Amino acid sequence: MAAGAACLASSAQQAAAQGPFPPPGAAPPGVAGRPPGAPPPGFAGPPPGAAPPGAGPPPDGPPAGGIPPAAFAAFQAELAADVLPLSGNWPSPSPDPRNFEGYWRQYNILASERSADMYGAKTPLNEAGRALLAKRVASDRAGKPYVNASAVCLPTGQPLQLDINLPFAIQQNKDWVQFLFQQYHGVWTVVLDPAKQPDAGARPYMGRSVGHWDGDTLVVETSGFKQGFWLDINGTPASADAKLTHRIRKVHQGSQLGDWSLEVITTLDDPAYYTRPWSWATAYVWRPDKAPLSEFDCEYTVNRPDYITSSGLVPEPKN
Amino acid sequence: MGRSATIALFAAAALVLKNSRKMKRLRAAFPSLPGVSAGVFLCLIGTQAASAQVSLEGTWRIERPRAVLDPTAGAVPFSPKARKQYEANKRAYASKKYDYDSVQTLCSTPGLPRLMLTPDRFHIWQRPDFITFQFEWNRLFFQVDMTGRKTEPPLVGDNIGVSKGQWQGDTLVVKTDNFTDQTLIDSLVPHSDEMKLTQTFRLLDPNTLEDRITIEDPQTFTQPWQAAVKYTRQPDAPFPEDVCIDRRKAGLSPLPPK
Repeated sequence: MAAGAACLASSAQQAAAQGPFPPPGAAPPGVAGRPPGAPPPGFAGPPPGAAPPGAGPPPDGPPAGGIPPAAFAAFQAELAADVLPLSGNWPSPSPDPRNFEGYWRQYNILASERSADMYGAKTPLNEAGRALLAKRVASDRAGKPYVNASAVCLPTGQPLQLDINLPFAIQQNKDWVQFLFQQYHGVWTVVLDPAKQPDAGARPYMGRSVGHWDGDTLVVETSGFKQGFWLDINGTPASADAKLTHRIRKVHQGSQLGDWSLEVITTLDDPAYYTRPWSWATAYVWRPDKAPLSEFDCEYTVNRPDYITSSGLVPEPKN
Repeated sequence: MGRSATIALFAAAALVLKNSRKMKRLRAAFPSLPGVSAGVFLCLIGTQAASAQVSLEGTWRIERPRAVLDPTAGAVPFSPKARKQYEANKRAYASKKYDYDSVQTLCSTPGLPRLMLTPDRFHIWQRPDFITFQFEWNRLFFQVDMTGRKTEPPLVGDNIGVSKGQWQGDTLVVKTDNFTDQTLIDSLVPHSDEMKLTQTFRLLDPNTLEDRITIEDPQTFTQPWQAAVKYTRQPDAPFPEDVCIDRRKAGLSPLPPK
């Protein structure tokens, strides 16, 4: 992070930046700031036959079960109220557009189910995908939610990890970009030189990620997952053979510190569960006040012998 | 102060500094400087003092892996109660019954200073506001707040504590408190939630990092005690994904082999 007076916003600037937090489910700044109907910059455009571009609906409301709607609404309100404090000489992001270093937090309020793509078209689940999602939602509504990676403190895959509203840090050097997430003490390593891939030949939970620069957009291609993963709370599926493409860029739509965001366009190519590749957009706001990241010792809770039974979780059937 | 007095003061200061270690380093770094005025020298020295922290950035591995952190001098000064706990831990360790150690049984976060004893690598990301120690073992990390900002202590302690740092010359001094009493100093030695830890990191040479550790915990020890650990620089590289839970499920030791 840059330091020094030139990199610090004044209190007045910060005060100006502290407008009302957007309502839950509002489009991220990187999407909302474009002309109506325009695709996000850096995105190649919809695949043939896709619905016309648009802001796209927010993720659906409360998750299928488990959390009462009132509690979920209270949680959303709490998140919405959590903004960069007015006081404090917070640093700005680096002026280098290819330097993403610093602390960021999900701008949208926790997707329960990603039921549409970024153009508003229904998530293109195929028959197997629909069946699997329906089974997961039914088990949740029955009060017997399936075990998934997040419930047992295993790396969740990028989509769910990026949807969590706890902050993350980005560090980078010439060889790799390192995402460090507070939740699950998650780590996402993006190598810029495929020869530096630390998991070559392995299938990690987070897959193997290789990045390159397309202008000032970091394009990350990830494949080779250890197991299938959930895209959201309800369990919209992705298979171990899924291919993820993340297009990540730093956006400053305005002149204030709070106008900085990190825009991420995710494209999932997974014929096991979808009829075509599809994309969604998320954005992350600049939150230097969230540093340092707090400890997240989920192993302490979930590794107890009776955890699965006492928590009400049930193992997901294999088929 | 008059102009002539100011010039005299600058000149005197330059004379004092002429043979200082810092001045010698400056001259080595800027061989063309001898003809530069005293005022410019002073300005350069001031600039260097403000921004000349060494870079600890890179990938490191402990020089001599160890399960036990030996004091620099003498024995660990246990209080009577803590000694009993330590002896019990030793017996349990010898019989491979690790109920006293949630790292072994649960893959729980080891906390400090134990994390600094991991035989796996760690990476230091050194930035002005925060220094991040990222460990290969189980994807853990902790961050040292270098901002000097006042913060509220957490309502309850963390295994990893709260770390604040500052540079003293070429040495990074990290003070950590707000711990739990749920972790161990190494594989055996207990501590209370009142432990205060001071770690001073400095480069002994470009490829050797030393961590001098001071442990204060009146609940556990009759006096503060010190230990020292060295790390060797490794080829800079990202870490493979390490999942302690999977090792444990496979019947392997959660802790990496020593």
